[in-house]
Amino acid sequence: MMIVDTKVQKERVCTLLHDVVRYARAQNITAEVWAHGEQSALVRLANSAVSLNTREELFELTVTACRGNARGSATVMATPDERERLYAAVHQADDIARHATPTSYARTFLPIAPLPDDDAGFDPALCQLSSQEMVAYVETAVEGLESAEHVVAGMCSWGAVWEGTANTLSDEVGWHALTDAGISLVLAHTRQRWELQSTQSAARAAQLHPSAVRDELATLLSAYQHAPASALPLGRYDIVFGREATAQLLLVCCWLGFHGGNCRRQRTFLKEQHVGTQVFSPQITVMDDPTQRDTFPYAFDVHGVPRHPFPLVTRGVFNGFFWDRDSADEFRERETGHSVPALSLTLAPGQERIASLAALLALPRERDLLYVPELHYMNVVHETEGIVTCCSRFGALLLRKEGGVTVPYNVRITEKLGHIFAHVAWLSHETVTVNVSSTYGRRTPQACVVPRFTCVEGVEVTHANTSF
Amino acid sequence: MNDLRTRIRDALQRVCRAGATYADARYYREQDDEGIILVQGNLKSVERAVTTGIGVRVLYRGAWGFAATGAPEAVQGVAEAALENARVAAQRVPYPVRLAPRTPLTGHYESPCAIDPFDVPLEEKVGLLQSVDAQLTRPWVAQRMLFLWATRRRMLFLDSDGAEIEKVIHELFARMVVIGVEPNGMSQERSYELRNRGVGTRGWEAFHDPAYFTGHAPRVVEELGQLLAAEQCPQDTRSVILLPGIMFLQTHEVIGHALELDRILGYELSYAGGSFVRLEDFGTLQYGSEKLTVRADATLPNSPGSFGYDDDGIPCQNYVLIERGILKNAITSRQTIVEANEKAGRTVFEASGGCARACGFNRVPLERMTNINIDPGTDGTLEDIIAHTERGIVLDGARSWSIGSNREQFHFACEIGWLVEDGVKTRVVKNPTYGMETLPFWRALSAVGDERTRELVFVPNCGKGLPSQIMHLGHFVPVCRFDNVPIGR
Repeated sequence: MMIVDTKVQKERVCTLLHDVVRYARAQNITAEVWAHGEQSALVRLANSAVSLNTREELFELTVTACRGNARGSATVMATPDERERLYAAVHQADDIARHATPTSYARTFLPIAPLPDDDAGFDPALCQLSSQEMVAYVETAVEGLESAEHVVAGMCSWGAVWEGTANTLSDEVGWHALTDAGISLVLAHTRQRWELQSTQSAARAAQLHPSAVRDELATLLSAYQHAPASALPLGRYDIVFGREATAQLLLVCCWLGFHGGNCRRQRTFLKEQHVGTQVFSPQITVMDDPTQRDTFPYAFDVHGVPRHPFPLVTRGVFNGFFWDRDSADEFRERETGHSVPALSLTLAPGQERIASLAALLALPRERDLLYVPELHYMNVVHETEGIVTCCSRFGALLLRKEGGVTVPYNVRITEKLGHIFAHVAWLSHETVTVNVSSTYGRRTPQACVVPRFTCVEGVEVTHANTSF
Repeated sequence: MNDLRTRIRDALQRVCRAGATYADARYYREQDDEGIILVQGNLKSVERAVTTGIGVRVLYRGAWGFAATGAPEAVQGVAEAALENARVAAQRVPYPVRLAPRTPLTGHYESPCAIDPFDVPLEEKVGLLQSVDAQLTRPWVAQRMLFLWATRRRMLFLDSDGAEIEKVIHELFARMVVIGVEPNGMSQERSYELRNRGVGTRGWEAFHDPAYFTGHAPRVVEELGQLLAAEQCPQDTRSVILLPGIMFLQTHEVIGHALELDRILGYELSYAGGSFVRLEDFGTLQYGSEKLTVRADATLPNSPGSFGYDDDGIPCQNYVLIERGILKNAITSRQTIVEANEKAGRTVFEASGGCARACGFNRVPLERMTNINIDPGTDGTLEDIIAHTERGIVLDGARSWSIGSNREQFHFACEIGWLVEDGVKTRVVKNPTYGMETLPFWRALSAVGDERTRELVFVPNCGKGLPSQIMHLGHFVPVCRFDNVPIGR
């Protein structure tokens, strides 16, 4: 079942894409084709047990047929060798396009230029990792931390994707393959009902370091075992967002701020008039950077458009929106290689030399700091105002200005994204990779590279729990 | 098909002979999906997908292993991979999984459907959306969006105890959204989604009655116009009167999810979260006021929360979760009730509620909501409730929802609000929000509308689990009023 030879897989998928394109041409069908294969494994933990150990292997082909400005798409799940079933998707897509209404705007359909293979992110060692080895990773990561009261929960997800794009206007095939792993381990108190978490992202097996996870969990556990717990008064706090929280804020900012199509559809807080102006703190520099390998990048998008580093915000100045092909066509803009399943977002580091949670706890401070490692259930209260709401989770701490630490019951934060990114007090000097992959639907690895800590002044806490 | 059925059965028996105590398989002979998106009158996309595959779940020494593939003929290898995964998992099982006993069933279920949406020509589907779009086209509407999704699943469930269940399930969802822009550049949004009253059939015929979808377009556009001229929702504490368009989500998030037994037992702590509910609360906890009676009813014929048999092979049921405010039962499966009863030291749950569902062949069954419904009350119509409200706000449309990780508190933003003063609806307000702690909120339930106010609202996007799953279900809910709720924050 295990596929580890990416050369064999490449040959199989690229041959299929060539065959499908040849078949479509022979039928006088204009089409583009996207192939997706994946091998996914996931070990889930709950109540200190492996509650699920799963592995799956899937392959899908999506054909989009073009008849002028009308489009039709058909996806079929099969094996790459089931040519007849896969060819049927060509006819089904064309049949849909034949009966579809053309758009009022012109739709782009271009030949694919020669593309270099995009498989430097494929690590056979990570692809071959067994669930036995992953369970051993977990044992090391929680060694000495588990007890009857402190149970382990979490998820270890790893796997590989193989993807390719081709169309009937050229003979080129874009080939993309990579491996990824996302770990989140949680220590949960069975009676007091708090939860602590540490996470890790890996593009290669050599990047899996259970000891780092253990160190972070141990630091949090020590604080939670020894510090008093209390409900926070409502009001504005200087908040140190952990890496997960920072990545979550960056992702939502991307769709509510930088997405050109969303802007024209009245769903962003950044507008055209903000381009070229100072919208965030001068400490904020954001890039969609497909050269950053740890983000599981795409070197080209689904249409075969090469991707390059795309500066979104430079020292607080908004450089401009990114455009996927369909939005660019609709609003007569130029596409920017952003028809991709996942972006490669990076937030540049700052100057504050804080490389660990322990260092943060030891930081001398003039005011109370609320440390929030992760944001639970973020949602958008108002798109064009850029207001989001979410709750603290997985190990928040209140670092008292006089030097002590208390454990706050979880709080709700409701704030404008514009305020958060404009009021950055400091960013830590070291960046870390945060795995933000979703496990819904197709395997789509995604990670952000962000400072380990981001301190923001005056963030509003609008609700505080009165217990765990 | 019969050959594959035999091979699946053989594969399950073989893993049991190799040491498994139970195994089951879900074979998706065919899952058809179709999605159509119309934006500003443009047919943005028409996507069809055909999915085929098989997933095998194996219980070995109290631990689950699972494997899936898009190549069903490889069932034997999949079953062996699942067994091997279970063997690894069994190395770390402080509390071995046990399944509640049940009689293995042979059955067939087909959701009622008069006109299969996959038999309807594309032109007719697009034409329907275009006719709605024409009604949404007004000068104050900046963006118009229409969505239509249809799903048809043909599945076979087999287990090592001899159960064999075939299902054909049709589902249909539709949604209209309009966005307008205020003079200051801020946007307002109004939407409506296909819903019904739980009866009838689930096919394309749903669109024949304008009351279910198409007939709402003029009102949606009109209300957007009112929002664009409306004042801001005040910061206040008032009675909130929730229409079904937000009441369904209130029920979903802080009754439905809070009562999933796997969450209560800690199986979702690393992702979706836990629950403030404890096992000792069943039978005693005053969850809401006496006006609150809640059911898990998977027997409504016309809802995505009704599916004949769950993915443990248990027939769908209709049972009470909360009765006159007191917590009685949970959303349960064969696995969790055994563990819960043992941990509680008493029989809290008599039998599985038939709520184990997987969203596809490549996912494992979890506790999922069926149709979590609120019984109608005796407080009359919406107009009757408004007439008996001194200072309130009527709310509709889910714009944002965010809930604490143990479902202990929540914050909702709605699309539209109407202030109520001395029993009269006075004016529209924009950007209404409300939030509170869960139990005080439900205990503040002061009025429940009668049967005439109930609507069954579909949920096409309930997310849970790792690997993550999107589930379809429904909520049949009346208009409800809650007192002393903070709004506008």
